[in-house]
Amino acid sequence: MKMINEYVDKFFEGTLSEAQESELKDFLSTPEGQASEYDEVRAVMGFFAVGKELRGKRKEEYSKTTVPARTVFARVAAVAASVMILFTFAVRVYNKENVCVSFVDGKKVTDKEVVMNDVENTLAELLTDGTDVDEQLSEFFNKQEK
Amino acid sequence: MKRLLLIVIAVFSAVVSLNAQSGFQIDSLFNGGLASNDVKKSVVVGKSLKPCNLDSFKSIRFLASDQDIDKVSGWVSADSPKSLGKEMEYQDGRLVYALLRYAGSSSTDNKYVCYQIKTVDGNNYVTVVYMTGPATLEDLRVIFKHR
Repeated sequence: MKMINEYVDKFFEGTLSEAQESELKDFLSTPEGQASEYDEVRAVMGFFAVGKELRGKRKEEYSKTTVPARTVFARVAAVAASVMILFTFAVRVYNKENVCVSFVDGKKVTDKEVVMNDVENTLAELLTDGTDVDEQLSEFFNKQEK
Repeated sequence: MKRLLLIVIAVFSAVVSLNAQSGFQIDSLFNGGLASNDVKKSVVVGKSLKPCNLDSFKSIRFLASDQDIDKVSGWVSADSPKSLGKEMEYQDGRLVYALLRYAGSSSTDNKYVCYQIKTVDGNNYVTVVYMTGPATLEDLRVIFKHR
């Protein structure tokens, strides 16, 4: 008990170590600690305990609201920027990978049917005719007749 | 972050490879190497060519003077030694038809250069085609024989 009274004195002097404070708290929660002579120390310790708890809560609230909000915003901005960059590249690649266009005497033709018809005719001529000798000869003789 | 970096690099390399040149002398023709008034150019890349099993196709057909013919046939002849397969026809010492096949970027890919002179109403029209894709010459002949 003498030791507890010393702890109480030290507590008010502010020289109590953490281990001693913990021992004092433990004692104050026992039936002996409920004695009226310890009312004052119980009240002050209780006040500090409530204060510490409140301060802890405020700290927690602060860390929950402001810091993560900034981080979340940065992450969302980074993801949005990445998505936009990838989308731009994807569109460019798609456009480069899917072209169907003709230029006839400088005029642009984008009608897919017309362009593909031209492609088919060109390939049919090149791959199935080779040099059309008959055509060349008839062309030659027509020229001679004229 | 690493994954994102890899995606960006992959997309960049795809764009760079799409811009790559075919490495033939005949490229000069597609890059405006000849000035002619009567020109028809076609460029098709991608899904429109899927039925033909090709990846890309570009053609140019133009009214050609004798000098133009000499120039273009010279480019085609210069490209021919590198080919894996070729059909070339000459008339009076002049190249009038060529069909050249080259190895593509992968073992299943092919590159083709086709060249033809056609005479219409006394005018010479030169057609040059450059195309790439997995289609073999036999495939293409079968497809276009029935059209």
